[in-house]
Amino acid sequence: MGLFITKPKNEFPETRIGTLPARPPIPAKISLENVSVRFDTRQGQPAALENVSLSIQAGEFVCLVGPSGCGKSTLLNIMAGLLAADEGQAFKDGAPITKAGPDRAVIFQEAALFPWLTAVQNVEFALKTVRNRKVRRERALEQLQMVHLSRFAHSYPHELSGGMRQRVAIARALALDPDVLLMDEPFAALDAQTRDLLIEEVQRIWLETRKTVVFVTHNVLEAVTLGDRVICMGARPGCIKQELNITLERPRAVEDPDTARFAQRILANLKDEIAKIVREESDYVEAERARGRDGDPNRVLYPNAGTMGDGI
Amino acid sequence: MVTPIAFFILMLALWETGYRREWWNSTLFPGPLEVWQALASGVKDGSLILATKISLLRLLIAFGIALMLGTLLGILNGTVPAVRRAIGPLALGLQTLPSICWLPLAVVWFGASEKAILFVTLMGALLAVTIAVSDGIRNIPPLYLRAAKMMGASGPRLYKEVLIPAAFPAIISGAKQGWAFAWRSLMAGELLSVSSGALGLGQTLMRGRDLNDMSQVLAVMTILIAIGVVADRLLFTQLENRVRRRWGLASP
Repeated sequence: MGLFITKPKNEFPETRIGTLPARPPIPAKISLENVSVRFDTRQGQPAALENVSLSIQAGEFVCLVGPSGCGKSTLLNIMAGLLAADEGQAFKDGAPITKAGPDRAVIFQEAALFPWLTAVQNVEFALKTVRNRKVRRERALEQLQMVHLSRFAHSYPHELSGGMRQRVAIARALALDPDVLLMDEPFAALDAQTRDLLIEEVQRIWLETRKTVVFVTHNVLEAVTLGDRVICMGARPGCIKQELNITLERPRAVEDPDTARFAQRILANLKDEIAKIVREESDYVEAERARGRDGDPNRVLYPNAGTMGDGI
Repeated sequence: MVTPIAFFILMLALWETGYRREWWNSTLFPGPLEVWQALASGVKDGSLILATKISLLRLLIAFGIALMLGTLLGILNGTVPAVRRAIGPLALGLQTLPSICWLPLAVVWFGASEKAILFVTLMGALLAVTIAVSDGIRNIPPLYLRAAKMMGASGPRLYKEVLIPAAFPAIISGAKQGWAFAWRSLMAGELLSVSSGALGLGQTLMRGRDLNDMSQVLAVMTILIAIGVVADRLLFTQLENRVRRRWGLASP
């Protein structure tokens, strides 16, 4: 890990939309080569991802943003090894990714804690390589301390708030001491205040640990606040539209005017994509109505919410 | 709590009154005091205590085997698709068969013996447990499995630390259901095979009928109700609620 640390570069005072600076000669921590994925739906097989190539350096914080249905979570699941690409291949440190493993910790949208274990026991689950029980408990408590949850170490998940649960999930992921941290819309289900707090916490943790992070979100401001690089994706077929290096000083805050300015730029770019999806979805809902089925109005904005990547 | 007790006492009083005033043939349906006396004398001479012990022992043996075998089969059925396709429909079909229908077969296989009764009881509970456990496993949120895989849990550890705990509420419900089925099957088995094995509660009940001693019949029925209430309401429902609370499935 230590060898591959690259500090976020600050030589670009303004944003650079478009091409990346030349790749450093070290092998990418994560790379995707011409990845395509198709899901079976009743409208045939629109590509969830079409020919996506991407390379992420060690120590980099990369955010994937895009409208619902652009395949950003699918991309993350491929990196995690929870989903296999139909075409193309994902690599970690040059080796093909074939299955999920503790070197690539995932933080899911719902915390995915085990409800029969207390917070500290959930973190301990990630520490099973530590044989000594006392040491294991100490390490787990240290991780909980890092996310300020020591007081709730012995609470069960259902006794915690959504934000606390997500923090336990972060502590659990960090306990794995992974090479790569994959975060799949981790704060999407939280209220705005909690989310802003957790964004700052994730930034602090990243500055302390310098893990390679891939962070999926549909919240552009969140992406700009956290990322060294923001990758904008488009839908139908899912693909990378644009990459953007965020060169703002760290630590950043969600409410900084600079952050907002960056976010504005990306949003303008995504607007066309979102408009495209809303148009398609409303056409679809109309068509369903015409066929006598009730279109669920929620599906307009999040057509794949709840089903994307399920059943893996 | 007051209303049901008051109602219960009222019913007992009505029953005793009807019996004394001979609203019906009193030998066919003795009054509560007489039933109480039959119960007391049965307990005193030890015959009812012994019968209870014998029946409960049978139940524990058969239910214990059903629980172990059913959990094992249920886990297999829930996790191995080939097994599910093979034995799933069979299990569902056999579940509709009242377990007492195994008795003729059991008597031929094992003779009119202890084993025949145990077999019928086992068959009553086994499939209920199997199906409940298998459904429980299959209804585990896929998110738990993805989280477990992400953390590198696989093989026996995945079963021991994720699948079984995640399905535990369903396993408890399956056990509760299995217990109820086993209990009914045991009584049916004992009633229909008076001559086989030691005298359990079912056989004692039948013996009462043969002797035309309705107070003994009613005394045994009282014991059966008591055991049912204690096991189902107090033991299993309590356990079930506790597990559901702990698993965050019910509001505390």
